[in-house]
Amino acid sequence: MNAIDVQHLSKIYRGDIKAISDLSFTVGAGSVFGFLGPNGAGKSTAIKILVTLMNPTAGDARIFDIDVSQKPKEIRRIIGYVPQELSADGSLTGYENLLLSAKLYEIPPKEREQRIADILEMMELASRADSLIDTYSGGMVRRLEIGQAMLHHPRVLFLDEPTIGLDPAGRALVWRQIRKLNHDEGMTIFLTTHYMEEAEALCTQIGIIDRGQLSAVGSPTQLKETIGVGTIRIVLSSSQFSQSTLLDMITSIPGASALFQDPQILEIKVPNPAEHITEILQLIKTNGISVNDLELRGPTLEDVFLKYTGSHLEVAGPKEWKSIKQRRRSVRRAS
Amino acid sequence: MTLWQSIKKTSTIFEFEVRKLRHDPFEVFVRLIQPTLWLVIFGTVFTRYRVIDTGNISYLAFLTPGVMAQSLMFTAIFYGIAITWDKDSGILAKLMVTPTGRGSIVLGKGMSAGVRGLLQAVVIILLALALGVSFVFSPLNILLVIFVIVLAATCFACLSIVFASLLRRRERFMGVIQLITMPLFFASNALYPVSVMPVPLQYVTLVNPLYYVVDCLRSLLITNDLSNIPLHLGILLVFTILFVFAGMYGLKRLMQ
Ligand SMILES: Nc1ncnc2c1ncn2[C@@H]1O[C@H](COP(=O)(O)OP(=O)(O)OP(=O)(O)O)[C@@H](O)[C@H]1O
Ligand SMILES: [Mg+2]
Repeated sequence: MNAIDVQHLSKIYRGDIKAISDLSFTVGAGSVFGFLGPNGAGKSTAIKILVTLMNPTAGDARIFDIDVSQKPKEIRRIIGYVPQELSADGSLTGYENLLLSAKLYEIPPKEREQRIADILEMMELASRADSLIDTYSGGMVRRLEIGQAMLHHPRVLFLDEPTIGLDPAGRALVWRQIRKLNHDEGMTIFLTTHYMEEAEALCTQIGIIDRGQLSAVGSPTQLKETIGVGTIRIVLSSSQFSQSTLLDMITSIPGASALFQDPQILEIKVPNPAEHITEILQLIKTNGISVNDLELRGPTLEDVFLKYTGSHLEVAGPKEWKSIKQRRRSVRRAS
Repeated sequence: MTLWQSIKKTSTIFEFEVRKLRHDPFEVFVRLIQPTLWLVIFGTVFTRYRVIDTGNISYLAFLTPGVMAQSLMFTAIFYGIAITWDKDSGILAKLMVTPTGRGSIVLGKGMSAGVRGLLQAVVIILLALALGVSFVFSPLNILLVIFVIVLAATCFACLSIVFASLLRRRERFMGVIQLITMPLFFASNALYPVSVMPVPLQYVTLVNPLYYVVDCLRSLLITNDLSNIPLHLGILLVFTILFVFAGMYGLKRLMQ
């Protein structure tokens, strides 16, 4: 049975802003499905429709065969949701945030305390349970929120950018917990991300989404197989040569593209890189340069993304995270 | 969803709003300053010079319920701003995907404004006692006063939620709320009896919830003339129910 079944889903916001158009896809029960796409692709919009926060303009969506816009109350009992924003309540403690969720999800009083204690333990937050969320780091908030969303053992867990802004250790912890939930409880996970590594590390199925449209769906391996282009990265011994002459020579190989990342670093994308490597090294040699270092790798999700959307994924760094946190802080201060 | 579940959910929402207050009582204290100034400065000056004729009760006694109603309105009417913050930070979204009725969310949050109103009322009464005002302290009256305060705060907080969801942006919200609070306040019997107002304005008071709040509080606390209570309490209840439903619609609209 499919956990999620979406057919011809569209959303047009006020002001004629088309956020998603004609999305159709299914998510098998027990899988980890990820939407991979850049800012403004429509990821959050799709998730908000699925978690009953918003009605679609057209099309329909079902979760375990229950229609999302017709029976929102039934849907809310079987899903968990972590919004993209840091959404734990800053003026309550970690424990209180969990208690609030436990009560709203009607977890029987007898089980509440144990369940909350388990979650705090699992998310490595037990020692800070009684501190206000306002004193948590971003990563701690995120972990707490995921704990909050799984408190009632939902059948589908929706995570909108679960690891945005986490440091490597925090990210690893969240990944571990997501895998564990999926594996131990058979929970279906639907997440969005604009991190390639995350999609690759977690997802059994990936949907590439850009400008509101789904351009490819498949497992990471399947998607990469459709590319067939690998990358050769060459560090040259000097920069005393004509870049354009070398580029012209290399791009004459069918299907190849090349660019200088740096005067001495050449990146070439070519189908079956192993077959072409000797030819390329020969070309470089005829230009009177030698090779200091060489790296050869198969297709990545980045390549997949480039092929299907014609654009690069923006790399989100710590800067973006900072702005989210600052926004949140200023909101708090003003209140 | 059963009625029992709805009541439980409402009280949960209420409980956690109150917990937030407890973690940060600063705002509650600040909100006590204004009514104190009204009573101590405005009240005593106007009483001394007998500016306003309030019949056989002193102006200070007349004013006290008015200040109570005014301070609870001024606090509750800004409640909507908390909703817009909760909306922007995703807190509201997370609340709304739980199996909790919109009504419970609006009512629980609205009622929490009543707690502030009650705290203000206690302080105002103590202060007025010190200034020589005497109150009717019968158990029934006190229970009804508590009910009126919570109802009134819920009423204005829900009205505020409606405005927040219509106006969305905080700047616009603040502007509009500031625009409407003054007329609500002056077209009421908080500072002077309705009979001294121009006749057209007297009709306006009939659709002003604050008028009914002040009238109920004054009857219950000062005059002990309870003849108008059932009608006025009923009208206040209708206003509140109306605003709760409008607030429920507003929440839904806010998420779109
Ligand atoms: N409430 C709204 N009103 C109008 N337009 C909106 C609203 N929310 C989103 N949009 C628009 O819809 C489009 C998709 O936005 P959405 O938030 O779904 O993207 P996203 O993929 O989640 O992006 P990000 O990675 O930045 O979170 C964008 O063009 C955005 O400007
Ligand atoms: Mg998003």
